[in-house]
Amino acid sequence: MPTVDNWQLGREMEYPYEGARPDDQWAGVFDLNKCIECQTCTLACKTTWTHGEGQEHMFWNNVETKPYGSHPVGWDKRTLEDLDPGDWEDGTYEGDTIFEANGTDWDDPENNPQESQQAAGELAGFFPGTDDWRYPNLGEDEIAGDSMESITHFDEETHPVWFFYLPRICNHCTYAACAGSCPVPAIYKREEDGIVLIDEDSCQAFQQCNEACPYKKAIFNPAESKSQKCIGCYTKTEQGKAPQCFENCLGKIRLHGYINPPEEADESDPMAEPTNPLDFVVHQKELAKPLYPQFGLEPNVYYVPPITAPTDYLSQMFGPGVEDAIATYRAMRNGDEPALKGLFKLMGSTEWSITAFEIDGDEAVGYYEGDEVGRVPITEPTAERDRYDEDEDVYRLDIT
Amino acid sequence: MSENTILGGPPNRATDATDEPETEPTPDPADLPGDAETAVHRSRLYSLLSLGFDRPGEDFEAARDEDAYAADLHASAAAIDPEIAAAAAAVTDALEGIDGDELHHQWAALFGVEEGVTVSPYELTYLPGPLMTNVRRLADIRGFYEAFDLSLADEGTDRGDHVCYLTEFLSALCLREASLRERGDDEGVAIVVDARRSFLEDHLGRWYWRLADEVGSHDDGTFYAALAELLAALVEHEIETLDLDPDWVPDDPEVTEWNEDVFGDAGRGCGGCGANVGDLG
Repeated sequence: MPTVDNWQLGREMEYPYEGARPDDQWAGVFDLNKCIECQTCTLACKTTWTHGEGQEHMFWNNVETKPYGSHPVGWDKRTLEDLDPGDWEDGTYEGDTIFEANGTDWDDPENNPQESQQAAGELAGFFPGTDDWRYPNLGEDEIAGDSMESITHFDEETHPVWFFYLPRICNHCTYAACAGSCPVPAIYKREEDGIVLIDEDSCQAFQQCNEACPYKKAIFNPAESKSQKCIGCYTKTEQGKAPQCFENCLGKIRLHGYINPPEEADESDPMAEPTNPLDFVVHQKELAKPLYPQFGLEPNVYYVPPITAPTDYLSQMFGPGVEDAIATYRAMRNGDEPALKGLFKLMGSTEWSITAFEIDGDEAVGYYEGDEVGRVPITEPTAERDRYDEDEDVYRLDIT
Repeated sequence: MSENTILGGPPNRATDATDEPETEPTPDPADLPGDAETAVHRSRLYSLLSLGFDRPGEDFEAARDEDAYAADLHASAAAIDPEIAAAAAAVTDALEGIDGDELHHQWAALFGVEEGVTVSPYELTYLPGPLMTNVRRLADIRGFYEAFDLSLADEGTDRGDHVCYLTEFLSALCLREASLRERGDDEGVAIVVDARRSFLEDHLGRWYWRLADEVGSHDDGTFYAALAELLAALVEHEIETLDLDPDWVPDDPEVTEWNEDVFGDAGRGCGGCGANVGDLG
């Protein structure tokens, strides 16, 4: 049985192909505490890449409200229902991934995706139909938890009434199901940066990837009769620039860079020397978490969980360690994590990808391959005025 | 892709591909209908059409001095085709005796913002599909301009899909064709003729007849109705000469066509979120 090492699961897992990692792995961090669902990312992507005929339903970047939003309809819930609930034990996932749920023997030549031409059927999940793509704003701003009254006050750290916004793009997975299921194969992962691409000249419209990707980010274009997906804006990242959805994020929630597996992670201290920001947030601080790691794809977009949402829901979505991540985030807000605070101030401060950062006195400094590309104050200077202005005889509502 | 991993590059393309670089075939003069003289007249006719569809001003008044506009229109149309010449005669007849103020009034009633742009001179208006999709069309048009080192004037306030720009671009192509034919540059001629083919088939050739219908339905018998008919006669002649098969736009601007399949009844939105503009009010 071919097995690959999935560090997010804390164990090896089954996969149709042998494991191999790219030279660098494209990655992102999204701070869900800052997303306001303005959809600027969505439109930055749509107007750049998916404004053609046959792409009307296609959002390589979308933002949905959780828990009730989903595009396509029920993409996560339906796949989760296909997987038996699996426990995590000391950081190890003991349930089945989508590759394992049906007990497929990937060593059997008949099950080879190029031989069977229907590998997606061997994976847990579903094929999203036309109706599933019709409602990109389904569930938008719908609250979960208690009912909301005019006198409701939120005193608890976990809010009794809650929702949060989840921006989603292709995760450029280490063990991409789209690539792993393609019969041609027309989908591949670039060795230089790990970006997963569909070679449109080779695509023969089997649509196996549409079903296999549990995040539903490989999407069929009926006008071109080809499947298409997020390309990680490699035309920009090759020049050192962050992808469109990162650069245009108004909330400055996104950080683009490259991540290492844990055993190769940068263990430097950013208070003393330039450090890989992805490794710092994901591996050192364990603050940002992968989306549905139990699917088994080792996705490479990492989310800082929203600190006011219930942790049982967040744990299902982001795996173990959510409580610790929330505690770390609160510590950062309280000034106890200056390096993290500095890094989060760097997010959205530059159009460049950030491959290293360090703290320089009161400032955080971002680098792209050794060149300084961003410098921001960790604590922004503020001035406070008197509430009452004697000269004007007025009270100020805003004094900072 | 490597043997048994998803890492790698694009799969090998056609197995019968050879290492020999592809060479451009030598253009066959038979595929390049026309001659230098006709190209000059065609260029002038497109240019006069562009000037005619523009908001009447000093340039048009100057062109009308000593009946130069009418004389040039006649001469160039007659050099191309009798039917075009007849259409040009209708234009000059309609222009006779109209002063600048009256002409401006006619123009404003049809194309001016003064009266809400009764007839749109913009290509995107006539194309099916959501606005988001049509941004690509606009980019394609601008790409044609840039490919020939042309750009919209800084002081211009119109979009690149305005009929004045489209005809002016075709005029520039025809003038280059004439110059290249004079120099015996078949390869150059092939490039500009191919561009004219593509531009007509992908853009003006798809909707010129809708413009003529719209102008005619609002303004029958006047200068602009005749001018739109002249444009139609010239483009139809071009389509026949160049053996084109443009995909005509629908005759109903509200048609939803292919996007019905995706969004159902909410088919004609901007294309951004699937919402139907009509339901938002």
